[in-house]
Amino acid sequence: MKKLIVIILLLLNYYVYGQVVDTSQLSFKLDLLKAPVSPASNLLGFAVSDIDKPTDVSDFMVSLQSATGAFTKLPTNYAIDIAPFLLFSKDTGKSRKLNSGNNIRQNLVLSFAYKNPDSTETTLNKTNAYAGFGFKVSILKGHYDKNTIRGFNKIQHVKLKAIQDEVLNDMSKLQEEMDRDPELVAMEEKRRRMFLDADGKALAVDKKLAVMQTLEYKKIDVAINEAYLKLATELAQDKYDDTLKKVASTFQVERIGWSLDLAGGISAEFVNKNFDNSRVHNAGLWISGGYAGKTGVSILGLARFLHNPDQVVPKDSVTELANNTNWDAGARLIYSKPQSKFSASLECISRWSSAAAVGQTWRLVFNADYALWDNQKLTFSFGRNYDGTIAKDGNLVAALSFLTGFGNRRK
Amino acid sequence: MAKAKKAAKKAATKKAAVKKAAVAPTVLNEAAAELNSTILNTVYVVDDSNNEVTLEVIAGEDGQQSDMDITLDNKILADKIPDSFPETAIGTNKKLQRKTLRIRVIITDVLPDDSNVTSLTIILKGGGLDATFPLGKTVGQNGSAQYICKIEFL
Repeated sequence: MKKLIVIILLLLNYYVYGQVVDTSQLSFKLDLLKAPVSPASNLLGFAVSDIDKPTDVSDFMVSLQSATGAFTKLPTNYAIDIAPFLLFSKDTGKSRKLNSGNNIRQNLVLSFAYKNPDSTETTLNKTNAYAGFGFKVSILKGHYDKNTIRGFNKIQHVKLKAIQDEVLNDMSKLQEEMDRDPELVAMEEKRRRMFLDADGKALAVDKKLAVMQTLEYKKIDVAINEAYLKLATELAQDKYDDTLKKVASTFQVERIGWSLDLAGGISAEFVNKNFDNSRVHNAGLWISGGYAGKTGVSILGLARFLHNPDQVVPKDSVTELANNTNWDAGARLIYSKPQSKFSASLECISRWSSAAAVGQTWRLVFNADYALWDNQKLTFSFGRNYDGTIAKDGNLVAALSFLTGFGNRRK
Repeated sequence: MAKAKKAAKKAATKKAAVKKAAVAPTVLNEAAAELNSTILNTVYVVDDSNNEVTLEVIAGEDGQQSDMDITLDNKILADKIPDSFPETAIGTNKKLQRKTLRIRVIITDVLPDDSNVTSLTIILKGGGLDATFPLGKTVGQNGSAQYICKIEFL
């Protein structure tokens, strides 16, 4: 079946080359029914690779310090995504097991972006500065299907477990070495003596607990933990890190059930880079949700609001500067099975624009792709774009494309 | 009548919740908590009684895989177990005096779209004061965190 589809795609390729195709049409995006991962950066046109994503407070501070020249100036171009509950929370353990409430806490991402355009900027006004704020949260994420859980358990008991066992053997030796460190031994002995009376006898429990509340005890406890951490960092070996990562990454995941994502963002434009003179640059709100079934078929719906004040919009045969607000609603039918090389989707979006000359329009795109090898994909797309200036007579054909990656394979 | 029963039940539930909160373990590892660390070196206070001390170790989150060793001096309590260590009596207060508990855990993030925050929570009960020692570290996708802990019973 898969081979047949590939042959059909190749035959269609010959048909497609017979059409008059505007090359600009080939670049249209196929996956529009998705809320942006980083709304603020999306509104200001940052590339995904330019967004900082600190995983702990130290990372966050380093990122901030580096962008602001050690807190001496405003950053030139800076975009950051933070997960506040994970970044700043000290809450660990049982309470963070997944349930609907914790799901939101684990998924909430706040994005911040600041752009000070330079001479190479093509879309933003170079004389102004821009700042954006956004959020994204997955309210429902679905759940893993049985094959995923089975595969996870298989991994758990075979490859990964074997490597983790090796790591534990090394950690055992490491801890023995750490515990022999003379400075640490001396500090631990000092802490131990704090629980003894003048005659060397153990204090009563209430007195021991009182000792633990003293500043002297807390100081030595912190010093011991710092020394322990330092020793672990110095003596630790990371020879298994790559192997562990490789084995863990071979696992493909598939969630089934209901999903619901909510994202929103707003950006401000500071005229002449003056913070006293600002206006809304653009704003957006995305709600996407759907159901993923066990058979690999899933349906997604999206409602989107995009507001662009003072945008050049068509009016009769000329253009004018006006507020342009788009309301989009669409659906996407997807066929994609885990571990399968073939996937296909059909998406349809209807757009209502506040610009009278644009009015209501729609787009419909079918997309299929087949992963030939790692990092190499054969893709085919066919559809009608809602942008009349790009699509000839409202219909466009995107050719069969062969996408390949150069350099290292994706890790 | 039914209303009165419902109110009594509500009051009883509230009372139970208050009672539960009152005996909740105290977080004691302030030092490690400040370091947001995978390292713990601390003390657990015991007395001369024959009351049992229990240990529970909760490792990892959904979508993560853990492997754990636990020793009490030279005695092995857990040898490369893949899951959390359930609440287990490890000895009386008296017998645990001056003994050292060592816990080593490796947690690997396997399922990419779940949490990348690994965590380890050690819960000791039955000694001078019930205590919870929470540790945690955020790793990259498919990354691993190694936890090394040492608790002296004094």
